[in-house]
Amino acid sequence: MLQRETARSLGVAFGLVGALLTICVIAMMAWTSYNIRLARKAKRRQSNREVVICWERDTLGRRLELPAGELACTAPEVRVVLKGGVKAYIAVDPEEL
Amino acid sequence: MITFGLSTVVDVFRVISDSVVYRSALVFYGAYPITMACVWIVLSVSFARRREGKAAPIKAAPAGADPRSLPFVSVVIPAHREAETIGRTLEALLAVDYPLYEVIVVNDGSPDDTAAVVRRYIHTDVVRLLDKTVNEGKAMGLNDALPLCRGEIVVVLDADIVVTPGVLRALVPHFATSRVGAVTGNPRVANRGSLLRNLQTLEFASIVSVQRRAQRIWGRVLTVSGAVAAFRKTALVDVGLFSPDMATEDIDMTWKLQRRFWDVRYEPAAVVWMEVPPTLRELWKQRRRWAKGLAQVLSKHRGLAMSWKCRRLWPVFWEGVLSIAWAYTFLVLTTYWLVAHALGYSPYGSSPIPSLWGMLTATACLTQLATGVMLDRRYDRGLARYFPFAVLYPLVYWLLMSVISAIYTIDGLLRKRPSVQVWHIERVGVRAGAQSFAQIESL
Repeated sequence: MLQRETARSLGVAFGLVGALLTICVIAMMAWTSYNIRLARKAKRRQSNREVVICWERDTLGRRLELPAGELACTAPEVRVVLKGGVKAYIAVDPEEL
Repeated sequence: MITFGLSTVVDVFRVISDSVVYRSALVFYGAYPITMACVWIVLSVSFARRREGKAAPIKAAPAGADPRSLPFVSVVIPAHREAETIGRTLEALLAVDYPLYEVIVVNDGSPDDTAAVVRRYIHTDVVRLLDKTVNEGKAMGLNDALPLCRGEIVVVLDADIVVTPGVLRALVPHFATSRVGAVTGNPRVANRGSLLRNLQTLEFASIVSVQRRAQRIWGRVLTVSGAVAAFRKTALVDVGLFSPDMATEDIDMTWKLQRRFWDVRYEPAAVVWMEVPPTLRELWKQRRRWAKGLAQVLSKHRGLAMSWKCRRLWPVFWEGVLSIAWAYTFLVLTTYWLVAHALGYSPYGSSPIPSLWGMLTATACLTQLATGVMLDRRYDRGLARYFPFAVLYPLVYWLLMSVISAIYTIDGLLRKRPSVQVWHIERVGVRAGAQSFAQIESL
């Protein structure tokens, strides 16, 4: 294949690839240093934003009924049942398991 | 009359061949893969040098660390029809080297024995079951599990993967930085053997991993892995939880987090073993979903293309757009060349014998694949032996992926999304996968 090509076309091709590689390195270095500068200058958020976690409705807008107290986070098995637009989480009694 | 018709068509083809549009398409067709290969190689090597060497700023939590200094982690596994695989997944999770964690399996309306298999592990006090009676899809399953999670860090795993013992120790230290919203792990292919699966093995090492490393240097990533990713619960709530209407909730979540300026990181040491589609039909279905999902995400977040506030996402956004444009260019040019040759006309650049530019493109692709194998072999020692399959990658795989991307991007853009994407799973090759997992240790 290389024998089919003229020296000029080989030079152009490899020159272009070399130029592409150089442009990539320079552009990426510039972008990365811009990112770092941005991070330093803009004083990126260093603490969690105020997010209130409240499990009242699911993503489709249905009301959630969770087990009372710590049970939601400790019950070994929880069943989710849909009834009349309400999504009820029912902790299964460990005796049942 | 027929001769006149043919000569007219050939004349039209000749006009196309001489047009600026055709020449531009040809330049884009050749230059894009070479340019991107250069970008991926330079940046991924840069990431490996800075973040994976001895001087890496983030290191896995040491095995002897005081448990009180480590945060509690909730592992959530959405599962639908996973009775054959979930036991293996839980066995591996119970062997994880981390003191404070729970595993919540979300049984999403499975008609099989998934729930019964999970109940066998409840006595361990680590595994819990969220049993949903209705199949509402992965995103809804994950959202429904969040109120039950005790940990602020939520690790989402696919139900058919096997984790390595150090996976949580590798993921968790990133969350010491409060702006980190998610960390994606490094899924490796377990069920190797056939040509198709070996090509995917190579793809995950040399395309997916290389791109994730490079995107981290860009500052923003295209997506976390659906197979293994850790999230900050606060961040998930902040962006409105997983979107149940998206074909790929993981890509969408990544973009939602980054639009709200949460950092998304990549941790190559968080290795998990997963199964890839063993048949062409299964692969087609998986990639159809990915192509649709990417198109949906790009369409949903198209506003950021011109948003100065979100400029750090521009490289990822435009690379996504250009990759789809390249798939269309590839298909249109190939079709044009095939028809032209059938008519006895040979347009410029259409020779089936590889030209210099064809060879350069293939070399760039192979160099990228070799870079991926080199960077990932420390996490997957047997990887180098799959490199000979790389020769087929630009020939077979590009064509297949371009066809899928071109067809289903339109589908993803035009078809109205259902309110909930539910599970459609057919388990294929589970037995072969089980054998492969038994061989993981030898890799």
